[in-house]
Amino acid sequence: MFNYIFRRLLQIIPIVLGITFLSFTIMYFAGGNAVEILLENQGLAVSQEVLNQKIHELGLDRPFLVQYFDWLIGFFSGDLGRSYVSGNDVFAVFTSKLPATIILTLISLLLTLVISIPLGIYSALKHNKLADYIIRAATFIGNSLPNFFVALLLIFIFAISLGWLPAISSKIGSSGLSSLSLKGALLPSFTLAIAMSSKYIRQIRALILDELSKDYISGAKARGIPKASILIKDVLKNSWLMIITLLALSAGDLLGGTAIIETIFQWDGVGKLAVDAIEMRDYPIIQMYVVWMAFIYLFINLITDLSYVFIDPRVKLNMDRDDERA
Amino acid sequence: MSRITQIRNGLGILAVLLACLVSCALLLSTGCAQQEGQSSQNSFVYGTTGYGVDMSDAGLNPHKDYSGWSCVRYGVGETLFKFNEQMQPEPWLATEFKYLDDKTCQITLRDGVKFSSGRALDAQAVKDCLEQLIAIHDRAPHDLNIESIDADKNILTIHTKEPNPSLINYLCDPYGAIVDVSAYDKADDQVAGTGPYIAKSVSDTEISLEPNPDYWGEKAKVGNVIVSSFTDGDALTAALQTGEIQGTYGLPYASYALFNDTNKYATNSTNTSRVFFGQVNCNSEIIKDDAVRTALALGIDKEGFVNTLLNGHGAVATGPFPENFDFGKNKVKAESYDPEKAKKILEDAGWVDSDGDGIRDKDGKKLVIRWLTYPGRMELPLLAESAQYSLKQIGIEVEVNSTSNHSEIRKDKGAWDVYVSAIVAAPTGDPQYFFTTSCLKDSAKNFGDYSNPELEKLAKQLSTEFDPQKRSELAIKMQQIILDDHAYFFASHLNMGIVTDSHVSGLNPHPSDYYEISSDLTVKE
Amino acid sequence: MSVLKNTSPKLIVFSAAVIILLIVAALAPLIVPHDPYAQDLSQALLNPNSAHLLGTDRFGRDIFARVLMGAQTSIYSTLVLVFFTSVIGIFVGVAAAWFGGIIDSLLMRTSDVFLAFPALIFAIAVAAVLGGGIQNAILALVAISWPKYARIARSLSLEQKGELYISAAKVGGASDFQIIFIEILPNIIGPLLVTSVLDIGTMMMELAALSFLGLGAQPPIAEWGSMMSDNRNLLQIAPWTVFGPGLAIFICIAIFNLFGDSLRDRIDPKRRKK
Repeated sequence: MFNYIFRRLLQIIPIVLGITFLSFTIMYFAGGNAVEILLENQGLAVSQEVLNQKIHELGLDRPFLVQYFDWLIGFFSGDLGRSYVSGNDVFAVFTSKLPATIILTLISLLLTLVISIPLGIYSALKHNKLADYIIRAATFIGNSLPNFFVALLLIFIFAISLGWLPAISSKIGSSGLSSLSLKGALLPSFTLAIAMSSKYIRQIRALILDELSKDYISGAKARGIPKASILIKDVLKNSWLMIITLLALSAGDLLGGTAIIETIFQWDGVGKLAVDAIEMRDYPIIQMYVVWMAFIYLFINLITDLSYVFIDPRVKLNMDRDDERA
Repeated sequence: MSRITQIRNGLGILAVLLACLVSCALLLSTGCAQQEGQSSQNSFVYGTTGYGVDMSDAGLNPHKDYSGWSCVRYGVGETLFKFNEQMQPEPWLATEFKYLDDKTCQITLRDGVKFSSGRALDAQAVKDCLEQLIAIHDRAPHDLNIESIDADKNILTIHTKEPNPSLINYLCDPYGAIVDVSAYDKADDQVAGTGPYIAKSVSDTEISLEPNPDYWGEKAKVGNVIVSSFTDGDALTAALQTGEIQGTYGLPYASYALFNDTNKYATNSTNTSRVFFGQVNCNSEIIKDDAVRTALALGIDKEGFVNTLLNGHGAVATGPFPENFDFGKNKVKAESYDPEKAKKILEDAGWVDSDGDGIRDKDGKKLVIRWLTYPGRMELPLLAESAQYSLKQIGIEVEVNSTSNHSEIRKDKGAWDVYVSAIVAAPTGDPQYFFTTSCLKDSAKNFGDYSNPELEKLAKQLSTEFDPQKRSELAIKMQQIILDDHAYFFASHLNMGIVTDSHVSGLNPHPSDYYEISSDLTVKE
Repeated sequence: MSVLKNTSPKLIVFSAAVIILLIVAALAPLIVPHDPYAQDLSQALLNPNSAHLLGTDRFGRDIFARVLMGAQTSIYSTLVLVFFTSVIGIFVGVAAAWFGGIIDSLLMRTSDVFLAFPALIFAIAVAAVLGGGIQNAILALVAISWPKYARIARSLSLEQKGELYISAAKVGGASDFQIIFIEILPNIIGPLLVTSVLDIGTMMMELAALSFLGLGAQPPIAEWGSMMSDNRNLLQIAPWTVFGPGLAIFICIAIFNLFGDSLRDRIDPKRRKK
């Protein structure tokens, strides 16, 4: 078991190499550099010497491979470098933005569960009745709305028309964790939860319908056990693992930061950081982000694979099992 | 393994996952969760898109990048001279100056000024500061061209390497903010300035200010000012609407209409010398045709752009400098929007639409203009889209390339015909800057390789002319040359607006864009 | 008529809706009430009225005309995107399954890298390399989305590979190429087709999201995502400029999703519960 986990963790190395090289290559060929882009933002002219001097200081005039290996060596010796734009330590910058993304992830997952478990169950119990149709129609709508449209709709309704919630989520003037508030988190997490719940409700409904049709349920029913009790004791218990797997996958998506939602709501997380960094060609930040994503991806995969073992102990842990997970 | 155990294990995984995330969040948060306890009775929160890492002006140290702007804008630092509304230097920390000869300038400092560190402002302190400035700053050494500085009590004597008629103007640049360099605290970018406010705390996203009790002039009236960085205009709009902030700098044009209620909001605006302009690529065959360049100048609807697309928050430009300059807008002439005339000029030059597709051609070549611009300033794509349509009406096809990669593409002289950008034309109130950066043979921003011998000659004169009157005259002549060559077209000047809650007064934008918070700032209860 | 008999009324209705959508999109240039690109600054930001059903934008262009025109851009771009993504993905997946060994691991490790790479970030970066534009946005999304199909195609092919008829074909002297195209592909294409049809909605969202970030269609091209993003700061002043294209995206995705669902029920009823 531990051997397996260890080997899985070793897998991270080729992926990190591949993914960071890929991102480095793309950014390199994207052209432009942090120095010039910063100066353009100010709209003032600077002589070519000053420009070259700064480019040289950042080492941006070195060959592509040298820049990449320099970064790689730094990475393996624990030095992630400094941001080209702010000059701050990349790791510090990144970890200061991470709490926002983690909190948004947690709140929106929580909201998703709170919305989707009761509705999913209710919909299944009222199979093909009016309530079921309404819930299914709602999930259908939720599935067909792009999240940026949902975000704008929610802002229009709750922030502009009703004035109940702030349109921008982060507290004025602060960054990192101190900029976050529960009230501010509501709109972005709802935006995310709407799409996720739509998916979850359908899954939970299907799962429960499936369970309800099984023999042991009719057996229990025949023995006169109340429906609610069957539901809680058996059906729900058997559905947990699937929900956890779903959650793990969603968490994987969310922990990468939802660039668009974070941008629209000015939520100071890693997704927004990554988008801004690409715009400014701030390589060290981009690399850090990409490494984080690789880590999340592999970690979540490991968790879901392990959870299959718990669902069905007959599943053998096999390194080469490339299941159809996507 | 029984089903129950499986479920327990499953729940266990979930619990571990959540616990990891929560502890991670908590771990990272400790240390950065500092909140202001209670707000001072008299406080003001100012939201601005002008402060932050992306603007390279985070922090207050004037010797770093553009942080001097923040130092001066938010009332912490002051320069020796400051610009008036006409962009002419006036005394500030200095009371007067005189040129002893072409290369020597003597400056008298104000008495009774103290840094917030307690040190008195004397010529030695200024010398220390300026010497550090030219030792470490990127632009200042070249601008100021200082050979040496003498300090004697409150008399500062600056020797320049060459005659430098713009020395006093350059000393108004915020990098010239005078701070006590012996008290500079690198750790949190705190500086000891002489301004009406002292920074209590400084971060990349927020500055908290309190009044300077020993200020030499009228004391600051607001107990706590918070300057906070915004990267998104819509967020800024919303924050002012909800009252989270009481003042804004850099509101999107479309948003001004939301703050028309003068009982609740006050809008102050002024034209700056930031100009939205195009330069043609003289290497391009099609651009070498005089008729094409003239038609281009005639075919852009500047009025429509400013009045409708910018909601009137801008000023139609003629040349590089706005109206409030001595050598500004009214002194020069350029084509205004006249599609009929443009059509005629093209017609006469042989550009006709021979295949009926709406686009003119000549000798089998279509009249297509590749228009390079970038989305970083929201006005530029609007101008491109508007010009694309208006030029199409006179038979010119415009291919717009609006990309953040423009700085790479413009180096490739074969890849574009017109480059449209924004630049501060006169950051020092002086005309020379625009020409030396954008129009001369060796200018850094003369991307289209424009050159005109007459212009080069006048530029040389300008660089050694000390008389302001004569400098103005030269500047007018030079502007007219580039306009007559149709090598540049100037669409509009940025109108900088500050919108505040109606309880706030004394916060006005300045044409230089350098001064915002001063001791005039008042918040009514 | 037996085909129709087995086809659910739902599938017929939604197929018809999709066909109507495709026709409207194809004929958009002919049926628009106004020139979607004609500017008239004096008509800027009009409220919806009888002449302009969805009002006008800041250039005075008719939003309804632009939404219709945008259907062409958005729908056909998405179809091209889904087509290339699935074809490339299926090709890689089948190849990996068939050849196995080192080719298999190499292809699957590569797909791991792409799966681990944040899709939107990848697309943004590619758009930065190639410049904006709808073609480049499609290219970026194809480049990042194929592994999903590769994995499904691979596992489906692996199931087939062990089947008796494949061994029979092998013994019968069929070439790799023949076996893949004649034996395997027809047997796995059903579920893959369903997957790609169900993916249309998602892909449309992703393409619109890229345009929303300013990296897809470039102005003045009418495209729903970029229309929403261009007009985003008019949300308070002229909400129709945002909600018009937003509603269009929603309706379009909804129709394709409904179509996908009913197609799945028809072709692949086993998977319904999954």
